[in-house]
Amino acid sequence: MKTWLKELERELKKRFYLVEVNGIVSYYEEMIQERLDNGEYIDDILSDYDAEEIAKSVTTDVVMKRANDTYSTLVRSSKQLMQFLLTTPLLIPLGFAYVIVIIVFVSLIISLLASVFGLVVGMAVIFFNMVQSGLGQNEILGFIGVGLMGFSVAILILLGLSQVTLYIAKNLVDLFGKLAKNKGEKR
Amino acid sequence: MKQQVKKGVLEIFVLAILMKGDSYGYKIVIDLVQYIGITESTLYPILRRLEKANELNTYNVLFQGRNRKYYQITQIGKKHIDEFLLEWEDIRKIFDILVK
Repeated sequence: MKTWLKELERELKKRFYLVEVNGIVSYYEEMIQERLDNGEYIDDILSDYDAEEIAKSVTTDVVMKRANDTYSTLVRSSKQLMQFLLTTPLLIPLGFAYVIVIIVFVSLIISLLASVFGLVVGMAVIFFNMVQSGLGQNEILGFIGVGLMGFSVAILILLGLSQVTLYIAKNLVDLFGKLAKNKGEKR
Repeated sequence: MKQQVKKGVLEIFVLAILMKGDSYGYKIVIDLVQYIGITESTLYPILRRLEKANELNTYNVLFQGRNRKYYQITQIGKKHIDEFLLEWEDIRKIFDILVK
């Protein structure tokens, strides 16, 4: 039993966080113990379980159960969901759809970041040109004021963007997780 | 029971078992398996989903030197059952009208 539980733990650790692994392992440990107490033989019990299959079957639930409220957990959840979809024959089309949506989404974020960066660089260039062209102190101070306001707006946009990005990415994980479950259940 | 229908009602059946009193994983499987095909592996994601939706609470009880995890239905879980049964009645009514 201990050997099988270690095998299950190894399989789960490839995909999930330690706290998630512990939850699943303790569930199966309890189940095996209950069945043993009920008079079943260990070999019969273990023949009912496949560690790799268990790890695969709980992927969508575990990923969807996560809070997914930080970039690191979201990236990990998205990666695991994608891996699961692309390695399950029935779900491969859904996996490709997910990959395409993620590519479009990431491209949009990169474009927006590039726009904000371009805005800041553009303002800096204009500022240096103004200094070089010998403009008066008042005009330069005025431009610095406008520039700082623009910079603040850019920061606000970036903060808003990070929140929107988290929200959309989290909902994408939920949406594709649900789609995968529904498709899997129709099988 | 057809697979698709079964998946939809399993959550309700688990909640129904817990309406009688708190229970633990293995006992839930044993109670359900008399009526519907279910395994420990099928039950696990159902319990996690219900727990995430706050339809279940859990607590551990020391039993023969080990922990046994008990599941307890919440008010949200009971509401889920009521809503499901109302929907089921509506389906039945519509069906009866259609076949008349």
